[in-house]
Amino acid sequence: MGRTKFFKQAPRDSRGTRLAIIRRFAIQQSEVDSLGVAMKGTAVHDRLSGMKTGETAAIISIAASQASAKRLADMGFVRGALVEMIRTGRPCLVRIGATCVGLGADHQRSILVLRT
Amino acid sequence: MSVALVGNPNTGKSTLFNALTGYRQRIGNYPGTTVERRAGFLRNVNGRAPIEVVDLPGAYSLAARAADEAIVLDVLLGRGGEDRRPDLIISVVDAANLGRNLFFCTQLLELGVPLVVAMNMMDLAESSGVRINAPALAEELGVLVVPVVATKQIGIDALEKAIIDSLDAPCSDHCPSFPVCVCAELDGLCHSLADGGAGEHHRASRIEAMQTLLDPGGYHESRLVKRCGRGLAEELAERRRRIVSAGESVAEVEARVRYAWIERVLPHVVTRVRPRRRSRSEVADRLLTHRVFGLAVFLLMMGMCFQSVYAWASPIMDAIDGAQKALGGFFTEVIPAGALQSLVVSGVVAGVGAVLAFLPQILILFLFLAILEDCGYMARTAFLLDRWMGLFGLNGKSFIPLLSSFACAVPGIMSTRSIEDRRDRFVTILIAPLMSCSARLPVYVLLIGAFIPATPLLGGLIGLQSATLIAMYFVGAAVAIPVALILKRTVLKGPAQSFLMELPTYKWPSPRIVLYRMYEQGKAFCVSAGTLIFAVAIVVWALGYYPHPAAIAQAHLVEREAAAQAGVSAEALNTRLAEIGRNEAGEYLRQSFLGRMGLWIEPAVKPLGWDWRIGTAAIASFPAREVVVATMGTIYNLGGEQDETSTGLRATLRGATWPDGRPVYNVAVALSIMVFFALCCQCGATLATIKREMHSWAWPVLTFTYMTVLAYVAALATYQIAIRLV
Repeated sequence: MGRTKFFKQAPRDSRGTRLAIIRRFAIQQSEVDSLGVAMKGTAVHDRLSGMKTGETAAIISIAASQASAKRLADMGFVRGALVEMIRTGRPCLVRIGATCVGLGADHQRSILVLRT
Repeated sequence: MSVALVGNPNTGKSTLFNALTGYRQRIGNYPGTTVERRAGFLRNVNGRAPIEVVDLPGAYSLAARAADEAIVLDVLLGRGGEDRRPDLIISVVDAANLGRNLFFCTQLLELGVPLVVAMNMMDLAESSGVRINAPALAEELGVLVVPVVATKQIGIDALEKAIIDSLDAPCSDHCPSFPVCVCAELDGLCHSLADGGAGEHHRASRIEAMQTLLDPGGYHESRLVKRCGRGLAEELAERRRRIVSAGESVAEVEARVRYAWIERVLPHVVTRVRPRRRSRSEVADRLLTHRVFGLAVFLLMMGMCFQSVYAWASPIMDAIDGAQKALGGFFTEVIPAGALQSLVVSGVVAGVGAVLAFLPQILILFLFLAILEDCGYMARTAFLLDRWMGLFGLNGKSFIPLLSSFACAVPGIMSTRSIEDRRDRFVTILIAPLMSCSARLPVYVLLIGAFIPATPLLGGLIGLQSATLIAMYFVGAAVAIPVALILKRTVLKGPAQSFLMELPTYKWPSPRIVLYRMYEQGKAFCVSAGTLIFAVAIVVWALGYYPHPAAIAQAHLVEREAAAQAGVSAEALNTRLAEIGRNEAGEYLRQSFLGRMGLWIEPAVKPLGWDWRIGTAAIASFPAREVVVATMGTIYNLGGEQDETSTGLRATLRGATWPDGRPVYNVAVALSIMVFFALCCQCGATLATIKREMHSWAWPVLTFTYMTVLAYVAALATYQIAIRLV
């Protein structure tokens, strides 16, 4: 709960701070759950399919079947990871870490991100 | 002793394998080039017992989804008969992309097998502006880390030394720790697996249990449930429920824990010395993955490829034709007339030689495909064509096997192993033989060269001949669409899978690899010409030569004498004698076993515009399509239609006639033959590969049946339409 308070106190416009929080506590489920609640309130999260070319965003969660979620997670699409949209469309092209990955429509829709 | 090369796709495992063993194996810059286990021996072992090096397909995780990843697991976990567990794992990681690569590496660490990390592509990492501290990584992982540049043979000696030093080293116990709830369930599962007699109780069983528990519906689960019964499935479901109620996500927890560990370790290992710049690869992708320009570039490249296959190879082909004719003439003079002369001239020179004339085209085709594969463009084609593959009910990943099937369906079918969804994979396998492979090229080039005029189109940009060639390549692809859709709606029903594929960094194609690929294919083609095609040509020759009744010779001898006594001019006599000779040869052929069989099937092929010779040649080409060219060469040579003035088979075909003197071939017949060969499945190797990949004879039988029916119907339609138009 303390973390959530800290989050709420963070300046509204400094999304970098929020990202830092997500990245720092990526491992603790309860933290991110409360972040998720907070973020629904501030409506800053979006699907990866909604990103524009050149935008970078942090992954919040993956809402897919367990098989797809496992596949994406193993390839590096985990909570807190940053993705850059290189080319929008179906499939789109994103950069995650040092790799370019092509993502089909279903995968794009299933990845929830927080835009910077 | 054996060591296994394991790592993500495109990390240079095969290049490293070649460097370590001095063995050459096919390398491509797209995920899934290596789809099976390959072995060689370490070059320098300093007097130790030989160490076997096993090259494995790339994988992102121990949680297998695709058939090629299952191969990795079977080797690593020591399943499947002859494949013992390796004594050491060489974890190959891409230094330029350490974060993602270390995920798999940390999984491998827990297998309980000594491990060495080969950090490949150090040069690329440095040029992208990062410095990597290998000793720090070694410290964190608790194993030896050797920086290498496999393509430039840098660091190979150090890697060999590290392999030998680590063979007897204790296993590292550095690994990320999992949340308590996951560990508890894992311990419980390990116990019940050991009690339930799930088998071998080695250290790997814990990581195996983890993959079973955390990958619902995955390879491990289905395998263990098959062995231990439904009870295990219920236990797994119960344990997963407990993990979820403890607030963890079953599918993501492993990735999150491991990536968090990597995130902690990386700052100690990787230092950025220069800010990240947009790499040249990304700049190239701005154009090449563009929905319009990218597709235009792709089509342009394909067009150029086929145009050059036709244009560049023509002079070489003419030279080979000339050489073949000279050789035939030489043997006619050297060997006395009779069965042996006929065997050499009609069977070997006219048959096998006719096929060998197409070596230049095949080399050019492979040159193009090898360059595309090696530079990393193949993965882009998958990306570009993903939405078009949607028409097939498939995704872009199926495009690479289909594109490589344009060279040969056998490696194409094998590379479908990287397709995760079983149904998508099967559909791809079943339509792969419809792609026009290089074995069809001789048929196309022969008939186009003989019957399609070289009219320039589009202001000389492309010839009518090349355009026909391209059209033939399109026929197969166009027919594949409805076939795939029907398969996807009926026998292999399933939802379309979303595209997910890494696009590797572009690199300059290595001339060594490209030339080696051409050499390898050229050799395979010549070997098949020297063995299979040779054998078929001889069988066809024997069927076409025997029984060779003496009565025919006598009848024509009488005619010859009559002509000589008619008292005409010498010139007219020669013409008459040549005509009698042709008649005699034709009579022999009609009386032969082949001729009788041919006349029997003629009614079936007549609606396609074919005479019995074409029909026989088509049936004889069942083992391999290119045989048809050899068979036609032999049949026409035996039939005496390949006379002194004609150069090669093309001219012979132009001169071939029905018994009533009408020419057999015209544009409609040529098109009908080409369409038939574009769609038929006259290839024993493809059918055998389909059986091996799909584990049942039903599938190759289905493939052969549907393709043959399709080919016949399409050839019939082509002929009947074309004969009315032309």
